[in-house]
Amino acid sequence: MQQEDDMKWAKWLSGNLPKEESDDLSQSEDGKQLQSFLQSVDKLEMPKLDEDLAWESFVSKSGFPMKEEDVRPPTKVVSARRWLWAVAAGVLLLAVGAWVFSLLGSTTVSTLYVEKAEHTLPDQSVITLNSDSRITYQTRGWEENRLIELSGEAYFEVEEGSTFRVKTEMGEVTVLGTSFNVRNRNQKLEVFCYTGKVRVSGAGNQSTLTPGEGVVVIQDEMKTMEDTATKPSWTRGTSTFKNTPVYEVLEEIERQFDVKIVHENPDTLYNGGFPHEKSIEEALNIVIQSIPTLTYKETGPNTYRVYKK
Amino acid sequence: MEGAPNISDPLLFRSLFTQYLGAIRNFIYYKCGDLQLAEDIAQESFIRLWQHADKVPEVKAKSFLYRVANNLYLDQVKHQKVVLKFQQRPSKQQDSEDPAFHLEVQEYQAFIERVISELPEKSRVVFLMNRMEGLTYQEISDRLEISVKAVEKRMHKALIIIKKHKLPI
Repeated sequence: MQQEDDMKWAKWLSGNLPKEESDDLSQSEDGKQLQSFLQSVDKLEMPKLDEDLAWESFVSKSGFPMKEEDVRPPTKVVSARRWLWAVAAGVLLLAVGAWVFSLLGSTTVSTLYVEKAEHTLPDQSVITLNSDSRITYQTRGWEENRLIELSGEAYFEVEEGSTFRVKTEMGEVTVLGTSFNVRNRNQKLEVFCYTGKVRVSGAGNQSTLTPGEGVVVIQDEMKTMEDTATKPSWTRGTSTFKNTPVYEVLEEIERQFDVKIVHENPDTLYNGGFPHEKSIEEALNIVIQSIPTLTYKETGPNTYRVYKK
Repeated sequence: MEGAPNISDPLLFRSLFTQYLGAIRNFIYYKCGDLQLAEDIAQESFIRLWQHADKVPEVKAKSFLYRVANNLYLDQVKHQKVVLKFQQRPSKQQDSEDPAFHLEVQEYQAFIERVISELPEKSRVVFLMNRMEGLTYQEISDRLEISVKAVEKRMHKALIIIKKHKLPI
């Protein structure tokens, strides 16, 4: 107890106290005074750092061999510790990058169209985000409460530890240590298990998945599916689909190529895939040509129309 | 160091510079409050790192930089009075034209800077890494290569001292 007491204010600040105790401290005179002090400190800014100037000066003093233009910063650095390289071993990812910011102990990582990103959580679990996706989690107390809120699509490789949960608007996924893919688009939740065990709850149903098994939750229904892949194909640069309405495929093309596709919600079911590294035309050809009733044309810069022949 | 990344590769070195320059500068700045000195020491640390680039494996670069920066700092400063200067973040609520209000803000900021400068050095470093850079205790423990418990102790101490100062309202 004495030991605990030694650090109670530090634990209070990082949100690592039991809720009751934490609330008591927050309500106390000391707590209120500290909060007001901290709020003021948080409004202060660090003196700016001119990295380019520092680098020039470093080069001139150190005899660094390269001309300045040969050695650009690795990427536009918003905050060095928060920028992530998404080139995992053997994983080819195209335009890479993600906005990551922290606020009050909560971290958000989000990708735009075309972008993908790999993010390492405090426990070394790794999340790969597909385009136009977002995750949010609490950094403080992460080890005890591993909860991710996801919109979009992500592949998870989870280290063993406390229960790991992924919340989406359609349902929740619970695992221990495992790898799995969660896709939540168009009011549809798809979860696929690659290793370990995954529990999915949604639409009032529960299902436990083992490797090779997946489920789709649509409205109030939960259907199972199977696959033999060892990793989702999009992490290797190809989007693949099974019995998926064409309009969903077109929306994925929009995300992967950052284009606008005008269409009339064609719902023919599509089986197949398109590569991310080739041209937009190639992707459209592959998908559209497999459906005899559809065709497309370019109607403007980065704008396409898909319509009935 | 067969197979280990060699930091004498200019591109890798450049990325280390980007990654750690700010962190090292801030680390020294939190200690002494002297921005110029902090920037000079950060730069000198990288010059030393470059001089030893062929002997330092990539995984050791960070602790090399912190150690050198700390030693340079100890050489330079014995018992200097710490005076930190921070900018007030621009805020819409502070557009008030009332000069008395401005004075209050200034006085209040001076009070905060004084309290921070009165913290013991180790607690101040931890406190400011957490508040100014938003680092978690875990991240601070990685940077300083001390345990999370040690970070908590230093933080607790900082908060106890802050709590003793009555705010001028």
